[in-house]
Amino acid sequence: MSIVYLPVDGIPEEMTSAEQARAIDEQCWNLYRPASIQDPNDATRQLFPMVTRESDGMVAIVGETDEQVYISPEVDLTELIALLPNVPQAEIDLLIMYVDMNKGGYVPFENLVPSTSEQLTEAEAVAEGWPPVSPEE
Amino acid sequence: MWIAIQNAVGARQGVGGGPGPTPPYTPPLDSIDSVAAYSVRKLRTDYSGPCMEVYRVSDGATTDIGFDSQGLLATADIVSFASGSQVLVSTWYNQGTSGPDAVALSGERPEIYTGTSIRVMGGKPALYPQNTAVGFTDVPINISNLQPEPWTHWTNFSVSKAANNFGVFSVFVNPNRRINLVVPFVPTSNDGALQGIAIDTTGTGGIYYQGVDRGTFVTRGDTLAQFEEYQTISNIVALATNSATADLNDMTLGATTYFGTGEYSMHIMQEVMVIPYLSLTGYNQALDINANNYYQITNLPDYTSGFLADYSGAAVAYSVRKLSNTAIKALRVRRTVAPFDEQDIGFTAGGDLDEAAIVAFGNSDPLAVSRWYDQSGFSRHAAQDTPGSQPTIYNGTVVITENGKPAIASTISTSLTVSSTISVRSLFSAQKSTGGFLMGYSSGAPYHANGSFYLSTLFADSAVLNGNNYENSTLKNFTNVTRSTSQVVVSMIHTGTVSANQISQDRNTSNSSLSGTRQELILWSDDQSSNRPAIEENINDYYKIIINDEAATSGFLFDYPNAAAAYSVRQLNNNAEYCMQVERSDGRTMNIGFVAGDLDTQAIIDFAGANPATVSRWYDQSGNQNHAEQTAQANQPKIYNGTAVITENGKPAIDLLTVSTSSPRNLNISIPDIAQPYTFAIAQRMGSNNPYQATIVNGPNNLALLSYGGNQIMLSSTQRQGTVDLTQQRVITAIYDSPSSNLFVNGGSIITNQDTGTSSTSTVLHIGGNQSSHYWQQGGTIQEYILWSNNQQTEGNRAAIEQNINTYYSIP
Repeated sequence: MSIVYLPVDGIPEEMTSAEQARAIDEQCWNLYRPASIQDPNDATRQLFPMVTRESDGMVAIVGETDEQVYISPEVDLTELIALLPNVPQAEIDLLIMYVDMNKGGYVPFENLVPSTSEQLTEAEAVAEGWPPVSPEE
Repeated sequence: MWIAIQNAVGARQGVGGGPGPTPPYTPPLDSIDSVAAYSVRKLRTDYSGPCMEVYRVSDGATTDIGFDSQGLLATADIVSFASGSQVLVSTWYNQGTSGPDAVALSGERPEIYTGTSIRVMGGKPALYPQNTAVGFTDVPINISNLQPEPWTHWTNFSVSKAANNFGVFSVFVNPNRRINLVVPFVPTSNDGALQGIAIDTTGTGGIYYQGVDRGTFVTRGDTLAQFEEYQTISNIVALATNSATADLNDMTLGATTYFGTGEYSMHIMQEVMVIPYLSLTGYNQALDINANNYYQITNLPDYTSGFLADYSGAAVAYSVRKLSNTAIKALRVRRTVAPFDEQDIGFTAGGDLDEAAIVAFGNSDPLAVSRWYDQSGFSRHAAQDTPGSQPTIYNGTVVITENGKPAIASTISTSLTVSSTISVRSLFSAQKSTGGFLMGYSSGAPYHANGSFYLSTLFADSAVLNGNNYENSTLKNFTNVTRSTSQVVVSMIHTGTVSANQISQDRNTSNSSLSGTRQELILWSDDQSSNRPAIEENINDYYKIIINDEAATSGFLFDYPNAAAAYSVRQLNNNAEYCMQVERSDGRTMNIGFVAGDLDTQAIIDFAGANPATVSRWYDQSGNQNHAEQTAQANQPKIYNGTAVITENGKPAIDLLTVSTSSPRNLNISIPDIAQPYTFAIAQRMGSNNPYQATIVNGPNNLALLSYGGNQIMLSSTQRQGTVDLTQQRVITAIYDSPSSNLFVNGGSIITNQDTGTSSTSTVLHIGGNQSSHYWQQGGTIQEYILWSNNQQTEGNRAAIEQNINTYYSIP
């Protein structure tokens, strides 16, 4: 198990880092339970915890590289892909194919992280100003 | 913009004709007039029209859909009509006594069927916006129809939920300018009260969110995020002072409502009504209750009985029991495997958590807790939107319990976030923990713990540190007294208020939450010192955390007082309520009491059925709370074999089974040291398959009451005497009072005036022996085990005690 921080830059003039991170995280949960089958009263909305860097408000999604992510048979990647404008189309195509092949099963989280995403270990993230996810004392 | 106007409600024919069957609830508009009433349920018994006209996307066909036999939208008819196509709502028919239907513009129709499933909210059908331009625009409400007085007195009522940040569900607009644009339920930044917004109005009136008076219209707050969280019932009572009444002729439902540049609203809707004014300062409580009973939305205020009525003013109240007569929801649970769906869990008629509903929903799947509903009436629910951080309630086999009551199991990395920050002055918690914070705050550390201590002197807030802090009603210093790892009631009265909003992660750190289980957490913003003893007693009465805490006023322990601990299968103290806690093979536990002074064996049979039951606790009847416990089921002695309660000579007996290295049986007592003299009186039968058997093992002091080879007895490792067959039922009295320690078996002296050293009792005693060693186990059975902090020989009671025990158990 390896904790990984994924800082989210935001989309200029469209979404802040926090907004984009939450939107991506919600779409990660939609892999498990797509919006089309969610009940509006469901409390579960996001898959991963997020942390905020106090100095600039930048948000990072915190995951574990070997976490197994469920892919619902009803999954729809449209909104997730729209949140990843910097990912090359070829990689998007591969992601769509990979997810489609694994509907109803689990895939490692690290296989879903785009190549364009910065990945930090916990130590690296803490050094760059994000809070740790280990005990304070 | 195309607007369809239909005012002839009475002229429309129902699907199938006639009013149809009477629904199994009281239709809310049977006794209230309305000018506009739209719902997914039948609102009037006399209403004979359909519920909605739906539009099939695949071919543009439309049809009217009525109600089923329960008065609910006939969803089966929609599915049949859909033929696999997406289905939208083109007209939402008005069920009121006057007023128009709500007709959606082409391209703005809400969704009711996705093509594979009916859209639902809380288990009931819901009209679901697909984007910011979907809803019912400019529904031509005729203000002059509002009676008894025109437009200044009306109530707009809805059951809905915001699908994005902007919660307009109903507005009256001037065709040329937008006025009286009402956005209800916007949270304030400090107390979480959800308030209304009016633009271009100076009107007075009331905003009521799920029965709570949110005051008059206020300007928009900084954040609307909370607005998205919950399905809500709302009453907006009147706009009173705008003079442009003639312009106010259109209502918008659901969406497409301009709210400043680029801001639109979307609402998932189930019910919207405009009804005549009832009270300018009040609200239509009957509608609230009617809707809440039907849609099962939330825990309304205005309770008149129950814990929260007895101890009023709670800021938040979370529990696995029903705390008020208006509470309907306890938890929302989430399946931890596909399809990861969620369901609300309520209460039984008796006010307990509906465990049967949990089991029925979970079946063989573990369930996490995604939301713990606030019962205070303020709807300050605590939720966790990330699955990995949700606590658990069901393991796929049984509901997690403590002492027979459901319990939410948390770890250092699970936490629930309260929907608003609470100012806490008084805290009461029923819990069992080994570490972690009692409460948390995203911007501070008021309840910072320090390892096994509840509070850290370095980090906890001074108002918390300097307050009065209690564990099981005993005032303790929470910074230097190790927390109990047993189930306890924690009570804290702070010297001032502190902010808290998480249960119970702190600041931005994870891994700080309470590690253990929690069953109840109730916070007040004021000082509850005067109510504290009664609140603790109420909590304890339900969860049975403090058991047998009253001294005897008659009975065996009254006749022979000063017992430090007393365990028996009979009632030794007239005030002792429980004898033991038994555990089934599925992990469920139940406290067992007495019937006419004897163990309530029928209660064990009823609880265990055809399964064996073991003893997880043997309750101390001395009043000193030194209960004997064994948490590992594999090490628990047995009381019921699946057919009958185990007995010795006709009386119930706790079966320690045969000596075993793999699953030794015993019950452990944590008890303060007792200096000599002290006396043990024990009714028991030792096992026969081990050369050494121990009834008492005093740990490092190596004091032991042992059988050696089954026929010798010893007061300590060097005091082996006598030839007594202890594999038969015996009453043994051991008096440690060096240099004159004595031991009696069935009243006969076996060891006389021996020096056993001056050791006190150990802080841990083991009924049945020390499980760590094969040679220090008793095996056999035990029926009574009493420890006095005096010498009952010199007190003159020994013979009478032995006779009493002998008489009850008919020991040969």
